[in-house]
Amino acid sequence: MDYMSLFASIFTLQNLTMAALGVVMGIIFGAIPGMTATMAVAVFLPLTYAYDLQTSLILLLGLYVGGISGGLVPAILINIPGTPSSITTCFDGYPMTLRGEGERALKIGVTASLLGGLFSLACLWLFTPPLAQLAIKFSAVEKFLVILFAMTIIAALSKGKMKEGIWMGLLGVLIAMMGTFDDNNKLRLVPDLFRKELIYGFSLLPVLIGLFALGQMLEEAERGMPKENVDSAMFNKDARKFSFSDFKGQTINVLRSSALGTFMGILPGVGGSAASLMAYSQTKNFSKNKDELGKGATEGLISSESANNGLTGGALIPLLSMGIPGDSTTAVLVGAFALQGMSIGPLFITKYPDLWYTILIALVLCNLLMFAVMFFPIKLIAKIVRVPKQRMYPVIILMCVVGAYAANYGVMFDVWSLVIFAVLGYLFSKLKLPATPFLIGFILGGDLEHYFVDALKGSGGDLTVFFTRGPICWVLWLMILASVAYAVIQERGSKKEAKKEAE
Amino acid sequence: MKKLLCLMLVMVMAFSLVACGGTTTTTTPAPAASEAPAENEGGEVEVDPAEFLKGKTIRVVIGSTSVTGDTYLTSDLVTRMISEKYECNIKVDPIGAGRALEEIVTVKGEDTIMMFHDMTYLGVLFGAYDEEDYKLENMIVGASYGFNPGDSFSAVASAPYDTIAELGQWMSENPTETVRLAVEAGGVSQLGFNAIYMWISETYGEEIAANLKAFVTGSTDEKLQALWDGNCQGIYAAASAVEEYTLDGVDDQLKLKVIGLMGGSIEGKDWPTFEEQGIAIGGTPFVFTKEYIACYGLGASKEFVAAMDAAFEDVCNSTEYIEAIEALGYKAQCLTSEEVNEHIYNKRAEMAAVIANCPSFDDLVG
Repeated sequence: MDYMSLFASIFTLQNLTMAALGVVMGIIFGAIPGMTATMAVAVFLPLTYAYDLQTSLILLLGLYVGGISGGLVPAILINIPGTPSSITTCFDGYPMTLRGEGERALKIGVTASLLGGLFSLACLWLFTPPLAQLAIKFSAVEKFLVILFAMTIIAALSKGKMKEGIWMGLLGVLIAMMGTFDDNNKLRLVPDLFRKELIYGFSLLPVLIGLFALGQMLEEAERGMPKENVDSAMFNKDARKFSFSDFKGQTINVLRSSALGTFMGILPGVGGSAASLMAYSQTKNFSKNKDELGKGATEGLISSESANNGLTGGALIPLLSMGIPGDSTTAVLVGAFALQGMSIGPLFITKYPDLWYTILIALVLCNLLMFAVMFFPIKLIAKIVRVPKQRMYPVIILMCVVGAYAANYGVMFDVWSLVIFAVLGYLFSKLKLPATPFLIGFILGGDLEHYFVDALKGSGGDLTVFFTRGPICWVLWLMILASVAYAVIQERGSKKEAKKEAE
Repeated sequence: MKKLLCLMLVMVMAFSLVACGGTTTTTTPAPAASEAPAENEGGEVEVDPAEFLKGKTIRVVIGSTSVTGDTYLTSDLVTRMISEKYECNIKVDPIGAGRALEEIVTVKGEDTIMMFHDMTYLGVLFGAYDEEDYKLENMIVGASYGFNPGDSFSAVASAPYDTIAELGQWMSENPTETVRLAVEAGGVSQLGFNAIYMWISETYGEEIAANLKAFVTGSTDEKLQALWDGNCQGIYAAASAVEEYTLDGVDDQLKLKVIGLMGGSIEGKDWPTFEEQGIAIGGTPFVFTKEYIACYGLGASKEFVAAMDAAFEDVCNSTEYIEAIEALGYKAQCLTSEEVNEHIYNKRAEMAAVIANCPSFDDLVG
């Protein structure tokens, strides 16, 4: 292959403009609560009809990388995850903003995103065939166990309130099961009155932004916004500034989280949000300063962001080696090939080496562009926290409503879902019930059930299949048990401490 | 700085409002009942589609949530070409079968239409959607703009059978073996499964047919994974979606073969059709081709239906459209609303008879 002419064909003004446009629009989509990278790619897909496949792919990959990265901005600055995979970014990003380190948190997040993206790209470039072979070994049984393992984060996050956390997680799973059961196309858990509205159950995005964004706003509205309520620490000029030395001692964390993100991307059908959840829970388990996580620890933020960008390269591995998209966004990318009359299958890399290298080079380019576009103007972006909330919240509410309405291409019930879950979020807070485990249960519940049922169908209803499928299965069980046991020990320890303090 | 940020927020707010505004539709009101549309001697409404459709905004809901599936690709293609030619704004929204059916039976005017395929009535026949609410009679069936020649079943390349007929034979020789075929509930794939089940039952007896089970799952990707996992032995999929897996050079673990096309044969391919293999129900060969149709609300005017018919006819006969839809793996066809109505109601009656003779799907899943 003539690499020089390939480079020359990629680095044209049109392609570079498309990459920049894709990254910027992707970041905007990612940053608007309720809009995701998948939506960005879907919205721009019809436009690619006018361009050749190379230019189309550069634009769409820009949207993908930008969309995944943009979610960190509202997560860090206003505690609203821009995309479902940014939930864990809120945990430590927002506490950092509260102590005046918003700009630092953003820079750490963007850098971690770049590192995660480049790590997964290296995996895509160098290890696609063996990783695809690994992915194919993960049947419905193993995928069920992976999701179960991701759910153990509920135990890790519910320190001191484990019972409530587990119950809320199970409630989330139950709510996720509302709607049509695919196996017989029958409605379940839906009151007859709402059988039309809830035919597909509640959608993730309205639930996410309702619980996180609007619920929080209702609480703040109740407290009011007089000047004395404004946390002056947010404007602390002496707050710690960003330095690349913030990554000192984080090499293992970056590698582990990026690898977990990439790995979750490789498994088709296992949602992208599970990647950052799993990486965050493992960072918490392995951290020397466990108690600091959730209170503004950089390692939590690094873990979350390197994992969700690690997903990008990972999700392309099964797509380009087997024709099976690794996540919902790469599933939409398939449309770009279809629009050009091209099928993507197991021979893609050997049949179209030019396009394969285009994808790799475009990913490097888009990751670097994403870093440049987000890192340097961050000072300006971080200043958004200075806008009085009474002016900022109406805009955010409007964006949330638009995002919810657009989530399923114009379904009004999604806006009502947003309101319903905003009220629920407010009530959870009043009743001191943790909303995050509920959301994690809701996000993972659908896949959990799907793979459980598929595994049972494949085995003719034999439950022992979850223990007898082989070594991968046993390792996953060990990890689940270790994670739960560890959380239980931690819980007991914290209760003892609390008792001692009370005495 | 603060002022600048406030200004930006106001702009974002304005942008969002404009975005919301964009999703609403401008409608050209249907003529009042007293304004009788111009009809020619044959009683057909005469309308100039260019004049009628110019400037109109129409939302197209489709019965799929995927932007990469056949329903989206075909509807997007034809509407894009109609929009360009007639200077109107037609936008496809993939909201899913249940919601699309609900929209089309409740829509008052002509600003929302549905584009879907045979699942419009199959979903009702299979009991997935309530008959009283969503039967064909509750909507106006419009033009057809294409069909999918590749509805098919595939198996792993190493399977001991190359056709559906050989599968039946193999099952009769191995009466203790269970064969699972991955399908979706309530659609064309369930119909194909039913046909195979009925043929095996009639040819080899109910006991053998009872070993054929439906493995219900979703997209083609999910079916492929179920096949590679060994959870099922065959899958329903569009031939164009699995063709890449049938080529030489594909890893043995992933390699597939097409064992039966539900419709007619495909030029240049030696994939066996159901009819060639003798797959028949009650002695009648089973042949089924999925056709894409437009549907309108009952309130749509005769002029609208006629204008859309003319627009579809114009675009669907163009070389540009025919080449583009074939590049996607589908075929163009051009049937007017009147032609489709007669055809689709007959097709529904035929398929109702097939489905009525089949056991409940709940008994076939396993």
